[in-house]
Amino acid sequence: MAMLELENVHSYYGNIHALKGISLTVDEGEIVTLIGANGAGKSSTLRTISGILHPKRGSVKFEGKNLTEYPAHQVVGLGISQVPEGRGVFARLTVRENLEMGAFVRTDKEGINEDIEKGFALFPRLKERQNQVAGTLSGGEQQMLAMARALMARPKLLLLDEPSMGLAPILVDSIFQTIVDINKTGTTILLVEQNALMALQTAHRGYVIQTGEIVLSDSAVALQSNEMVQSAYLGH
Amino acid sequence: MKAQTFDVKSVFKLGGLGGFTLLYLSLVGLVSNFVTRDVISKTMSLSFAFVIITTFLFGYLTARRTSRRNWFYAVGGGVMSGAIGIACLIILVLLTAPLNLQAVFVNASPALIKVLTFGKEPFTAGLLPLTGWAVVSSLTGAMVYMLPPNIRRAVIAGVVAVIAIGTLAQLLSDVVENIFALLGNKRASGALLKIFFAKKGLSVSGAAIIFVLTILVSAFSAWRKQIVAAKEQSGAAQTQTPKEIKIAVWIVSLLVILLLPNIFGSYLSEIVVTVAIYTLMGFGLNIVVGFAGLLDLGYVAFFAIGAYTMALLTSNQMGQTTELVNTGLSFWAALPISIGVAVLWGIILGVPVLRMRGDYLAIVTLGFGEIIRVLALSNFLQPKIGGAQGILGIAKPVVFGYELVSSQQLYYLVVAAALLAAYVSWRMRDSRAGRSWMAMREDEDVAEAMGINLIKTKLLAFATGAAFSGFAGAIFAAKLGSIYPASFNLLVSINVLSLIIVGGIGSLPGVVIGAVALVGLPELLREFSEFRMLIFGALLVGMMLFKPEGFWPAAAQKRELHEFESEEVEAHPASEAA
Repeated sequence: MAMLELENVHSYYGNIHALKGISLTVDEGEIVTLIGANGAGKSSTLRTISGILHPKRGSVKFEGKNLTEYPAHQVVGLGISQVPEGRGVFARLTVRENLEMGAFVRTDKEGINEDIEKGFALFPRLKERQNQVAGTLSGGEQQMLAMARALMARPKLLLLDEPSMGLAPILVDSIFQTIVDINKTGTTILLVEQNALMALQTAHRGYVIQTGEIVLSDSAVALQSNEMVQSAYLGH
Repeated sequence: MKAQTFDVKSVFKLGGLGGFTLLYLSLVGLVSNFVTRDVISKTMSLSFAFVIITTFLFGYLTARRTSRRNWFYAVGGGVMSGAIGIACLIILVLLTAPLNLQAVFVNASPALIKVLTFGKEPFTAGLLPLTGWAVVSSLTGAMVYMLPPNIRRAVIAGVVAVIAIGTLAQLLSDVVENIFALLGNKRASGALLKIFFAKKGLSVSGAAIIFVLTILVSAFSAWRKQIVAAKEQSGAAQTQTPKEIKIAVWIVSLLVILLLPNIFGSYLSEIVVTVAIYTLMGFGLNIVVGFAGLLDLGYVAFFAIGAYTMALLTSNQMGQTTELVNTGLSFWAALPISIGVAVLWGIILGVPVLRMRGDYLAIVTLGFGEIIRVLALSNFLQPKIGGAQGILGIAKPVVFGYELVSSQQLYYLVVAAALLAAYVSWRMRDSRAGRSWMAMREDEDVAEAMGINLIKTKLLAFATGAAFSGFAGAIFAAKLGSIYPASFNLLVSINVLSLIIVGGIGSLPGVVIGAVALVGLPELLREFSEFRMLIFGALLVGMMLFKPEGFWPAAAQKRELHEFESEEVEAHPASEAA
């Protein structure tokens, strides 16, 4: 059984029909990517999974539980963490305080401190800046912080929303390398990206979304050689 | 290098600004109205102090722009700017009579001219000493700027201390007298008062002693700080205050808190009680606005609800002036009910505004505050809660058989309440609730994604805030013994919001400092009657310019507003040179 399963999901912003019947699955241990242009519905899909956006029709199942029945703040407790678009770090709190906020649903103090150290091992830059306010970090460091913070909840599934946005190419490479590393420790990842090339090189499988609908789904390797993907997203 | 030339432009700019300030002070009447009010007895009247403080300040500011570490430039700039400033004032003096300025500016009066020219006849003869004093004081200002930073700070502290103590001499001499009365030594107090205070203001010897003492204390603390810093740098173990000293400090502060009403006398105690009531409200609003980031402009509503509940439950006039039954509860029985009702209304207001943020929330809460006031005033509820006539005969708190009536007695109740609020705020800030408030303040969506229940978190903030305000309202009602709808206007909300901003939003000591500055200071300045709000407004504007994060900012705000400061300082000389 798939870990995460969306079936025929329809979501709206008021009258705007953002998701027109999305179906996708993510299996345990995978990196699955969702690629598409601006406004295609990538972030809306993530918002629907994390419970901020409520679907009008369709089902969202995580480990057999119906996610649409849970309020947004309980989703993290089920094992789903999100790295929001544009990082969303708490700008006036320090790096360390941000990480502690990520563990808000947990109460085991020692485990939390251990995980903070793990986060620092993953991103050594954060350790150097642990007492600095997050708002003064560079874009790349903020992205690292947002990822480390999401991991603090010990998620089974990590939702990443455009981790490459606004970053220098060299940083993008290192962020994607870290995504692979995180995946190797057993965390399943759903990656939403505009940078289709990087996303497809990193992921196992991929979906292509256009104006609220999934138009293609295949293994990442196959998608890279797909003509439509090549002309629309890879610029060949 | 161009940086070495003399900055004439700044001299004219600051000199002109100084002149404008002097004209302003003269024309609003601050200079002419306080001739008889001495800061230093028979030496410096408050009127005169206004003039020379202004020239001193602008001399200092000019030197800061022109000096370039060169005494000659500093002194030249200071003197020139002082001269320009005073020239503006001289022009005013000379033109007043021929142009009949008094027709437009009421305060451009013969009285003003008399002050400025030291009453000399013909008045032009008096312009010389005026110019002399102004130039000397701006020169002094410029020279003070050139002193090494530590000494400079000490000298400025000395000047400020003399002026402040001199202005409040009457109140302070009463306080000194009360202290000695407590110690049972009247004779010593008489002798001491004679050294420091004259009939009006400080005596010359008192001013000198205070000036020197402040300099010494300030220099000593700077010297100690240096030693501590040096010790820390050399890697020595962290200097910790010994336990005995800590305990002693606690005991002394406790004693001071207990004896304060006796030391302060009834007038100052009254001010302290008002300040403490506002502090109590400030702690509550600080949770709502400072911690949780929910801008609430109708905070007075909960204050009113607390006060009215207390009044309705304890007034001995119920049933006579209103239709409601006389329950005749005591203050202590009614207090938890008052707080409970306020909390209930906090939640009732909280539910519909759950989805609102920022400006929208501010408008809705503003409306709520007004609705409560209008309801209290309405004819509809008049038979129940008295309408514009309000409610009289509210019970006083009784403690162990003693009725707390005067401010000096109520002081203990109010201060205890404020301390309790401070403790609760402090514990809540560092709890999970506090964490969720801060996360919510930064970003609601992300906070929710972290697992924070926004509904619970918001309602908890509104309810806690309302509880503190209801508490304050209940005490307020008991203190006055009668309440009227007019006491619960928008200005109360604005005042409480201002005081937490002035103190430093989200900061607990800031609430106390803000309340002292915003509620206590205007009361202390009461003798300045119509100028009170003018001085007060100027202080506020100045504060927002020079210390926008508040007097005692919470860590987060300090970081936000000063993170680029070090870069700015470095960038400054470069931009000047360019």
